[in-house]
Amino acid sequence: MSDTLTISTVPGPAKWSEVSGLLRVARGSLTLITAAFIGLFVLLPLVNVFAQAFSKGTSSYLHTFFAAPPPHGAHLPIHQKLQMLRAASQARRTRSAIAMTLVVGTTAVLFNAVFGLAAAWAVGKFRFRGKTLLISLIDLPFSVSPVVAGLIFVLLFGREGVLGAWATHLKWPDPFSIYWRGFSSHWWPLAASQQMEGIIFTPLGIVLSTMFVTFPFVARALIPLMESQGIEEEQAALSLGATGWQTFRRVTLPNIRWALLYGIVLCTCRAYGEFGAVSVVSGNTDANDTIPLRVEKLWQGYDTQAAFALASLLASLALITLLIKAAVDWRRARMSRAAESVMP
Amino acid sequence: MSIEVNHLSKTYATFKAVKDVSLRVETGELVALVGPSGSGKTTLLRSIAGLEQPDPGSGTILLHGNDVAAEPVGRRKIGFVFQHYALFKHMTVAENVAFGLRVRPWRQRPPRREIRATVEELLNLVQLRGMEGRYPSQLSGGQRQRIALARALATKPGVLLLDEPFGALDAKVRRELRQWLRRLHHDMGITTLFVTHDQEEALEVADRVAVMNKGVIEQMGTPNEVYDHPAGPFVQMFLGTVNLFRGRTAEDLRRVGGVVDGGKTNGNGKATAYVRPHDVEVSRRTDATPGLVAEVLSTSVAGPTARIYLQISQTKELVEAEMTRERHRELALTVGEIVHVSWRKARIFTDDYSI
Repeated sequence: MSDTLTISTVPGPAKWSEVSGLLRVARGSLTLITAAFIGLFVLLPLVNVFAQAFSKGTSSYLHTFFAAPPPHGAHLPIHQKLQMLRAASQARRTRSAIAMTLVVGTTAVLFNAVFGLAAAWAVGKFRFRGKTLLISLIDLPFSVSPVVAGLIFVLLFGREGVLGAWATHLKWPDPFSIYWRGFSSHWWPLAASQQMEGIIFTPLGIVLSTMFVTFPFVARALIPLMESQGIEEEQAALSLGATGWQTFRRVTLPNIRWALLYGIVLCTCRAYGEFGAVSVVSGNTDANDTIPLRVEKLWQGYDTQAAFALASLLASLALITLLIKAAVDWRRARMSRAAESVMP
Repeated sequence: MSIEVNHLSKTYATFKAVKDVSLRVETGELVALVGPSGSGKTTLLRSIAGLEQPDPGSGTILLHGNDVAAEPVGRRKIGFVFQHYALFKHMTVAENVAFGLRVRPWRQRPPRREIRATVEELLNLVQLRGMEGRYPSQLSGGQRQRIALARALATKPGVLLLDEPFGALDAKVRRELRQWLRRLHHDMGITTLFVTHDQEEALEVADRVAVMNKGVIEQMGTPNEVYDHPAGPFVQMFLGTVNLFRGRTAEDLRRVGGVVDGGKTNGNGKATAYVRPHDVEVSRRTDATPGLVAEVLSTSVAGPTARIYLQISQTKELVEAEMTRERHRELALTVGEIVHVSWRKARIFTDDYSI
C-alpha cells in the first residue's frame, strides 16, 4: 500500500515543475516579443515625432504656429522680408488648419454621439425586423476604405453626381461668420453674414465624410453594454411614474456614461486624424485644410520640422485619449470590485 | 383598489399567451397567479401593469372601476416588483426608494424633508434600516428584493403587482420572505396580485389562488378550495403530488378503489382516478378486501411521515402512499410484499374531459 503511494506521488511534483518552467519561459518570451513590437512600432515613432518637432529648438516649434515678428526698427533686405512674409502666411495656414479640424471634428463627433446613441438604443433595447442588417450597416464604415468613402460623397454631391444639381447650389451659413443680432424683430438671435455654396470642396463635405468614417465608434462602444443591461430598469422607472426624458436622464444615461465617454473619445481621435476621405472632398485648397492635410502639404514642401510640429498636436491628442481610456478602465475595474464585495 | 380583467387576450406573433381571461381581485385581497412556465401568468400581470399591450379590442382592464387601456404604466397607480429586482445600480438604497417621489412634477413633489421621512419609514417597514447609503451591489438577494418592494410602495400605489418576487432567491430566504410578505400585506391591506410558479408558495401566502395553464385560468378560489376540490385534472396535478389510476371506464374505477369524491365524468370513455398520496390506503391482503393488488417497491421514513412506493401488479403503474409513522410501524411492510391498495378519497375525470 505504502509502495504504490510513493510511486504515484513522486513523479507529480517533478513533472509540474517542468511544466511551470516551460510556462515561465513562454510567459517571458511572449512578454518580450510584445514589448519589443510595441517599442519598435508605437513608442519609437511617437518619440520620433516629438524629437523631429523640436529638432530646431522650442522657438522654431512655436514659430510653426505663430511666425516670428520682424526685428523692431530693422531695415531688412528684400529677400528676407519676403521670407518673413512667407513664414507668416505658412503659420496662418497652419492655424487655420487647426481651427478647421477643431470645428469639423467636434461637429462630426457631436452628431455621431447623438446618432450613435440612438442607433445603440434601438439595437440594444428593442426587437425589430432587420436588426442584424442594421448592425452590419453600422459596421460598414469600418470595412470601407476612407478614400472610397470620400469618393462616395463626390459621386453623390459632385457636379456630375446623382444629387449634383441640387448640391452644387445648396447655400448654407458660414459658421465662422455667425454674429449676434439680438431679439429685436427676430425670434432667433443669431445670423450669418456670409453664405457658403455647395457641399463638395467645402467644409460641409469634410464634416459629412468625417461623420461617415467615424460613425461606428460611439454605437460600437454602447451596443454590447446596452444589450446586456436589458430594459427592466427603464420599465421600473416608468412604472414609478417617470417620464420618458426622466427615464433617459436618470436611469439610461448614468448606466452608459462611461461607455459613452469612451466612444466619444475614440471617435474624436479618429475624426481629428482622418485623412483619406477628407483629402478627396477637400479639393486640395488651402482654406479647406485640416491638420492631417496640412501635415501632408508641409511634408511635401520639405518643411520636415513644421510637419512634425503640427503632427505632434495629433500625437498629444492620442496621448490624452490614452489617459482618459486608462481612467475609464480603472474606474470600471474599481466599480466591478465594489460589486464583488457583496454584504451578506 | 380592485382589479378587474374582462376577456383579455394577448398574442405574440403566432403564440397565444393569454386567451380570453377574466379575473377579479377585490380591494385588499392577496391573490396568487400560479401556473407552469409559459402559462401566460406573467403576461397577464404585465398587461395589467401596462408593460404589455393586450390585443387590440380584446377586452378591458379596470383598476378601481376605471378602464386603464389608454393609461401608460406610470399613470396606473400601480407598484410593480420585478423578478430580478431591477434596482437602479448607480443609485444608493435611499435614492432608489425615493425615485418615484423625486420624478414627480414639482407641484406634486413632496418637500425634501418629507421624502427623507418616507424613505426612513419604508426602510423600517422592510427591516433594512441603516442601509440608506449602500449600493444595490452591496446587498444580498433578499435585501435587494425588499428594497425593490419599498421602492414600489413609496408612491403609495393602489395595487401591488409582483412578478415572481422570490424566484431568484434560495429556498430558505424564500420561506422567510413569504411569511414576511403575508404579514406586510396584513398590516398594509394593499390589493396585491403576485405571480409564482411555486404552488406551495401560492397556497401558503395567498387569500385566493388563480391556477393558469396554457393561457387560461383553470380555477380560482381559496387555497383550500383549489387543493381539495380541483376543477380539473390539471389543477389536481399541479397543486401537489398525485397518483394516477387509469381504468377502462369510470365505473370500473369506482368499483375497484373505494370512495369517490367529486370529479367530472361523462359517457363511458377511459377514465383516470386522481388520488393524493395521503389518501392512498395500504392494507394486508385478504380475499375480502376490495382494491388493487400491488407490490411494495421501497419505503422511506423522513420526519413524521412515511412514504411507500408501490407498483400495481396488473397495470405496472407506480403509486406513492403517505402515512403516519405509527401506521407504518403497525403495518410492518417488507419490500417485495404483495398488498392491497385502495383510496380514502379520489376524484375521477374521464380522459376526454376538457374545460
